Amino acid sequence: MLRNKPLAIVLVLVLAFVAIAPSFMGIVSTNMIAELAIMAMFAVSVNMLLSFTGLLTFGHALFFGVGAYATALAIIHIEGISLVPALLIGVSSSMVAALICSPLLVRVSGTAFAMLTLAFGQLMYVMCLKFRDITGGEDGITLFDMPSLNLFGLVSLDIDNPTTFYYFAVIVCVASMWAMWYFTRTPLGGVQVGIRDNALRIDYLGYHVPTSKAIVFIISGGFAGLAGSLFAIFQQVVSVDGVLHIMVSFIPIMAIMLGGIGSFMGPITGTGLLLLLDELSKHYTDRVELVTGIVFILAVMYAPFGLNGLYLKAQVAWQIHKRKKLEMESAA
Amino acid sequence: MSPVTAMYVTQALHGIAYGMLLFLVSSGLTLIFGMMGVLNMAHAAFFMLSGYLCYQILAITGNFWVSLLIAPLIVAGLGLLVERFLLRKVKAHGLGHIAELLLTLGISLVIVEFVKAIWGTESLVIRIPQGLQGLVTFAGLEYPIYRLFLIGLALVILVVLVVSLYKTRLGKIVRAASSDPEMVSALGINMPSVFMLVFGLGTWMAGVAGVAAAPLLTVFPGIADQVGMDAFVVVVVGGFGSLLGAFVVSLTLGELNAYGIQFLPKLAPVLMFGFMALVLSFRPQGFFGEGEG
Amino acid sequence: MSNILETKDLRHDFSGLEVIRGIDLQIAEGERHAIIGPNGAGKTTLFNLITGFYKPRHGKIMFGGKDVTGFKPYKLNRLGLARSFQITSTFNKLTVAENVRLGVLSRRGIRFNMWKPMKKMDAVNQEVDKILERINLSEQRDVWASLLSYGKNRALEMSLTLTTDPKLILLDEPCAGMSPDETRTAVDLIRKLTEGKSMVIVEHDMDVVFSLADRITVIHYGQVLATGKPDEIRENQAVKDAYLGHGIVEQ
Repeated sequence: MLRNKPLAIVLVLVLAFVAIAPSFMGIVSTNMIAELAIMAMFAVSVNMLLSFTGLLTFGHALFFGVGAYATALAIIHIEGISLVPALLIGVSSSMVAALICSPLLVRVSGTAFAMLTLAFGQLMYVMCLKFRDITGGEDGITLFDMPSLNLFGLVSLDIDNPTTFYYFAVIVCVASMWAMWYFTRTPLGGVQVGIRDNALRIDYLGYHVPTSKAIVFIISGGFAGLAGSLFAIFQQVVSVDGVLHIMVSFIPIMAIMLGGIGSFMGPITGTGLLLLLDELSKHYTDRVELVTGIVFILAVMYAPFGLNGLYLKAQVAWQIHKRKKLEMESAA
Repeated sequence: MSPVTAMYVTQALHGIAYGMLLFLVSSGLTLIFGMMGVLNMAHAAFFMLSGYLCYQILAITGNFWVSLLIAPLIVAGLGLLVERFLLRKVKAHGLGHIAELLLTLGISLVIVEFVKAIWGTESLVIRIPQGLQGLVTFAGLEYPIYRLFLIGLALVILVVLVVSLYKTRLGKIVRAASSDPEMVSALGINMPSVFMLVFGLGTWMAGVAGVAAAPLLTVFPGIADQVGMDAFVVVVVGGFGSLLGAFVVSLTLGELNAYGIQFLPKLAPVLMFGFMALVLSFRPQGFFGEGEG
Repeated sequence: MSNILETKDLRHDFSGLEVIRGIDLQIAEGERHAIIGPNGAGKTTLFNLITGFYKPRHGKIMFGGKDVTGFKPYKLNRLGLARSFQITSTFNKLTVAENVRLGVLSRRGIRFNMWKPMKKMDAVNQEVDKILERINLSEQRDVWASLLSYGKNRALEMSLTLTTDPKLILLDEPCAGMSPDETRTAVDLIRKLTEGKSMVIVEHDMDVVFSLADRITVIHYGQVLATGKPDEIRENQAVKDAYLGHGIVEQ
């Protein structure tokens, strides 16, 4: 990625912008950026499965929701807990959820996998609706007293302050996305892509596919849980429809589709595009989701490789050019 | 019949009624998957749309039977258009059938939002038509006529479907295409037309179910998710592409629903999804399906 | 000399249709062994049984003296068995170097590392470079596997099979679909790369079989029809009958 100078420059500029945004933007705008960061991070965790392992998941809301609820419940039931431990509880809960689901998940791929994740997601949704005493059912849980953010026991920050939350959320999300990118550079990340391209071959090369998949699920689930936990803090309300509904699973899929399946940046640019679309259509119509749905269908039909499609096309052309050049040179 | 027995029988009949409804919806879904390899995420949305169209046609004509005739046809027509102009044109990504799944997902969203835009989010009530109101008495039991009508209607369609599949030439082509589309195409049969036919037929059946269910379940946007999820469970457990599987599992699910609601309200969804998850993991082609998965 | 691979009364069926009907094989260590037979004889099924793709309905498979019946592919690989695929099976969206690297990482047992970037693994990358040189693909190292010419893709396929440093290599019709020139190159490559190792090859092309094999087993209707040195097989009447003019008679 660092080979790609233009991309690196754009990233640096974006990060710089995000770093100084609160100094010239109002709370509404910085909140939007914070939400974008959280949802983009969530989409990147889904993308670990979709673009890098070749698995389409319709149920990632499960991990998002588990993280959100675990954090919210921790804040409510554990006296005086500070922010970071509450978030860690959210993350570990979603990782445990992923661990529990993995024995079944690793056995399937393709449409069966999509259906299975759909089933798990719906199961969690329905269960949380039913167990109202714990989850508050449709009304959900409201967080009135926000925990403070204790940094290394030295500084105590008030997370109610939008600017504080903004920097905290953005830093955590950017760091998480970077971690997931770094993962793709490691051997296990390489195995993941191998599984996507040719699971049978990977098996025959001596890799244990089920274990590799399980580890990826747990990591992906963990980051999704982190996104959910941050979302809970952000909204200060956690409801079943807000964090476990099937749309919560579909939105990152749509984002990845728009940004470009098969790329790392796809979910990030796609989420940005979705949010932009939301904002723009709000001005013209109430039916924002309808516009999103239509745009999505158009994208699937006419721009199946999304925003990243242009970039991919350029890459392929470059590869073909290199090969042609080699063949011409060896023929000469 | 003693009151206790009467209650059990009533629940059993309720189960059959919902089961047959579910069968109408899921048979189309399973046929489409068996033949085209595509799980139509929008199938239940068509079911829902048909209910709304029924409401509208009823408002205009005041005649339920006209709705029952026309609404499914409109929905089937829409299905044909979707297949011909959208589904067919979608290119595979090289990641299995992801593109089709996503496309039908998008269509399902658009249909639900469209319905919300025009008719709002409140439940719409549709009254049971004149001739089918009231109860019928047999064996000391009183049972709503309308539900019996529903069962009868579904059975008639089922019989016609089975007869056409097994006794007509077109039916044989459809069955063959369901296991080996390439071979059938090589025999010179126009596969795209067969696909379109099956897609339209499946959607039509969902449309009929949509109208028939409307007086019972009422019409609201969330019904697509509810019935849709049940239909997925039927198709997964019964076997992708198996009509027999769809029939057996639909009825089973209908009964489980009827009794489950009575006796185990909290556990019912867990059992259902849990069972679906197990089938997907250990026997991905379903109980009656042929090695696909 | 001990046997690197043995099967004892191997049987397998598909939904009741018996395809492998009692096969005993002995492959000696260091031997190059070809398995041939008319279409439908069961060669591919036998191959898939030995390589762990199917679990045999009945019988034993011994690898290096150890009972490996029913072992899954990854386990067999870690014990030193590797296979190639008839339909080229590489990692399409990865570069040639990345393809080979996956094999090298596995051989070195680096399978679950998620903290060190692959770029920084110098020993691994050097090994990848050496392998690429041996199979003449150094220039194409950054080209996606799916964009290689057929012949070069097969070479990559072969090298993937070998990167895990197997003791026994199983090749499934490695020269399928190749022109005579490409076949000659492939055979030379195979001979070079399997030097000092044991090899089992399933092939239809008799030129390839006779130029590579130390011993040949002929399969017919799921059973062993004959086993022996190439000359013995060439003269064997039963084999000639079975093929009825399929190339072997013309030799």
